[in-house]
Amino acid sequence: MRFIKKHKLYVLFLLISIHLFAQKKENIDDIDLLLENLGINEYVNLAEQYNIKWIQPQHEKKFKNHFIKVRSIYMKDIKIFIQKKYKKEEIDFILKFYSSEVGKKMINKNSLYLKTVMNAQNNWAEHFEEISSNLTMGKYQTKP
Amino acid sequence: MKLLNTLLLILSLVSCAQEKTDVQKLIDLTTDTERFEIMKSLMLIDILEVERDNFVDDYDSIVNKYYKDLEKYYKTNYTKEEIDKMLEFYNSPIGQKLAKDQRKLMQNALPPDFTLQQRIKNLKNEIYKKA
Repeated sequence: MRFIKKHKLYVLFLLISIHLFAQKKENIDDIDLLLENLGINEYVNLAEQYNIKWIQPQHEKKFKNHFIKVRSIYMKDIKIFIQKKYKKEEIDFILKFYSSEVGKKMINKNSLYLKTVMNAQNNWAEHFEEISSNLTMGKYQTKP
Repeated sequence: MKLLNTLLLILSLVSCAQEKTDVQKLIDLTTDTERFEIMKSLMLIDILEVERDNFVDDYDSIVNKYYKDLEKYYKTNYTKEEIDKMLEFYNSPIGQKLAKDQRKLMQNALPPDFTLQQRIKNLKNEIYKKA
């Protein structure tokens, strides 16, 4: 007790530090949860799978090994991006939605959703190439 | 004249947007469909009058295909009530802010200064350079 009285300023500082650290940790944990809910990991997995298709077979192992580091740094950067951009109240609001029935369902279907969007985007881009080529070749100048 | 045509086109696109279904609205909120319309408007500026109809037919059909692919996903996996709840969330200010970032993520534009695709490109270059 005497120690506390003697060093009350230090104790106060220590308590505030612990409180602030706990708050920051809670915030970081929430951001981790948010990234999980948004399916960022699945997104990175799909990007890895897609890019492996275009790697020469002899480099595949090396690519996979190095990709582990790329993934780790990317996840950290995304976390910092979210941390800087979103207030605690905003993160809480989003997490509340993801803890609802429909939110949970969305989390379960993240992988399927991302695949569907990526496929739809790739299909669109492929067809867009065809249309651009048709324009260049003057194919639209005559009626089909 | 070109400006007038573009304005008329944008107005017609806006009126089309008003007739969208809830699922289509959700697709617009969560994926970057805006670029389809912007690209179309820009391309139409340089297209010959004679090419216009054929181009528009083809272009609209690939955009419709995009919507259909995603509509199929939503209709297979979610009920009308669930779609309504998603729309309610994504229409809120925080939901809109998140949707904007989700759209950027799907465009591979996050984080803005160093995207995942850029990192992968660098990694590939490094691997091929050493080989």
